[in-house]
Amino acid sequence: MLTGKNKTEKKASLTNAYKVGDKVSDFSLKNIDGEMVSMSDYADAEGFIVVFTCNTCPYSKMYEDRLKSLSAKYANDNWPLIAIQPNDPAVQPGDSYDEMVSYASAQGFNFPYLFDEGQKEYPKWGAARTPHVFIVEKTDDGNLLRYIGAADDNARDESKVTVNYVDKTIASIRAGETVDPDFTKAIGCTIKTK
Amino acid sequence: MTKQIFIPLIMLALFALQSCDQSASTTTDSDTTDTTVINASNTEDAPLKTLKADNQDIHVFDTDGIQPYLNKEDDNIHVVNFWATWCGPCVKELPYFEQANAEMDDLQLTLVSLDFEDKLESSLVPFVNKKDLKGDVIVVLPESEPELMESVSSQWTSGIPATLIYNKHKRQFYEGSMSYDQLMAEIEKFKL
Repeated sequence: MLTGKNKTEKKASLTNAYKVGDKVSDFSLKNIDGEMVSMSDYADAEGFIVVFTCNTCPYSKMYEDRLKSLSAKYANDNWPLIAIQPNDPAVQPGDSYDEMVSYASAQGFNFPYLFDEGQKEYPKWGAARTPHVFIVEKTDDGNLLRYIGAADDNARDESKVTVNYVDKTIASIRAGETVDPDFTKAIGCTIKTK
Repeated sequence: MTKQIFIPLIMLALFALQSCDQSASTTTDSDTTDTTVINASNTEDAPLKTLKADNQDIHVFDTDGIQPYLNKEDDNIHVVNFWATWCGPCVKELPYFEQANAEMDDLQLTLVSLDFEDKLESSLVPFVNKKDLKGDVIVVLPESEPELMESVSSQWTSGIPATLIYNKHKRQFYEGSMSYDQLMAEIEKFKL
């Protein structure tokens, strides 16, 4: 089911969380290899596929292979996929930094998997679920948020996907066309916070 | 418990009525013990499958199949709670729903599990057995999560737990956890 613009999700969004069309600030978050990662590290990027995801949520697990595919597909096209883990390990121990390191290794993640220390980053984006996808276009005016929502239209069965929103959004941006839909409902687990 | 046999009794009664309405030539050769024929009585869709818990049968449906549970026409207050064994806040509030169900005769509790198909036998059934859940547990396996959410309420932003409360006169949807007091306060609004 495609939804166009939708009312902002009440629980996680602050009144000043990013909306489609906003400029997003850069971040500096710790990757599973110990290095800090920012969007500005990618000098040649056309844009970014930012995904809030975690170890523990069944929906995140369902999307892991798809995230790996997207990362492989777009890496050389200058659309790096960057994953950010937003859960509080005190509430969800399976999402601690150490668990992220071993999980990413076991699952063969081929993208940065950053820890949202203190859970300061995800509220800026209004991320409300894991997984939650945000597509950002690099422009002369800064990094513009162009899409918020699900990665595709079938969480449970990849073979039944009819629309891959990541592909569609990036294709539209490159063609200079309107991104439509620019907002879909993210399907997944709530973000774990105290 | 009377609640557990209520629906099958109604279905049997409806079936009996149907066969009575048919002409004499069909009743002699129809097999009235076939459960699939009972399920095809037009009041409810046949489930995709049924799991056996110790104290109840757990029917598994797609999105269309659960719609009758969201639209029952009787004098009860219907509480439909969407949950999953993997959802911590959902599991935490189940006892409140069970308690409300135990306390009120005219309340019908349906617990719609969003557990995944490959975990039904290994996680859901043992959980239902361990907690001895008295509410009517069913499973929904949606083809499309957004379509499932839309069919329940346009207000559903996809989080669980979520609860639909309805009767003949009123319909209300709540997303998020509820305490026992909150749940009872909301149910109170449905009493005439």
